[in-house]
Amino acid sequence: MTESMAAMAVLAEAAFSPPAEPVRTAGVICLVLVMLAGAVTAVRVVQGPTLADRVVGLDLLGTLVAAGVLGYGLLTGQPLLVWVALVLALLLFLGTVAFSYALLHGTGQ
Amino acid sequence: MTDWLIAVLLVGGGVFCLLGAVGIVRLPDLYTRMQASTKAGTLGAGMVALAAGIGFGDLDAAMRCGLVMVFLFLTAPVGSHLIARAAHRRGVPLWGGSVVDHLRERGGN
Repeated sequence: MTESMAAMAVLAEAAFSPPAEPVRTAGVICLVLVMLAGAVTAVRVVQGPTLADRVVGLDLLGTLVAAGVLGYGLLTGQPLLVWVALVLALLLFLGTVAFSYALLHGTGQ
Repeated sequence: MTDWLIAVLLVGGGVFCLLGAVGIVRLPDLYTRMQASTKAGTLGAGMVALAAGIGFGDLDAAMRCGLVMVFLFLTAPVGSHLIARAAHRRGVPLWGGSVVDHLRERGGN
């Protein structure tokens, strides 16, 4: 039991390789900037006068989340998170198309 | 050397994301906001994806990051075109200082 746990800890230690110094600082700066951008975009999503404004804001918000996931994956050395960003980018496009279709053919503002 | 390239790409991507977010809040109407979100936001996310692709140092992850970048660059213009068209047909007003509206002039709407 304890032996396998120790082996797992060793594996996790080996799997996690933090990036070199300039990349680590730049990654933290990048994540802070992206989060700030998300907060600023949320203002438009909340107060956007029309539905289309909100859709554009949500579109940008999704792109920012994908960028944040990629930056976080690079910072913590998890290449698997790239799949998350990939699926997010695809779903984002589907959502945008569905919203524009609803905007064209739907009812209500 | 590579580390510094990744760092510059990360910080530049974050800055472009923030610029897109500021643009989406400050610009006067839907169509100009869409300009900020689509161009600056996508460029920022693409730069972060490029940084991640270089930074993982792994061909597998690099391919996936390239795929994310291609998807973002392919879907952003298509999605924003759809929303702009739907919003124009829906009658979302242009900014008061707009000079020309080709879509209305041609009657294509």
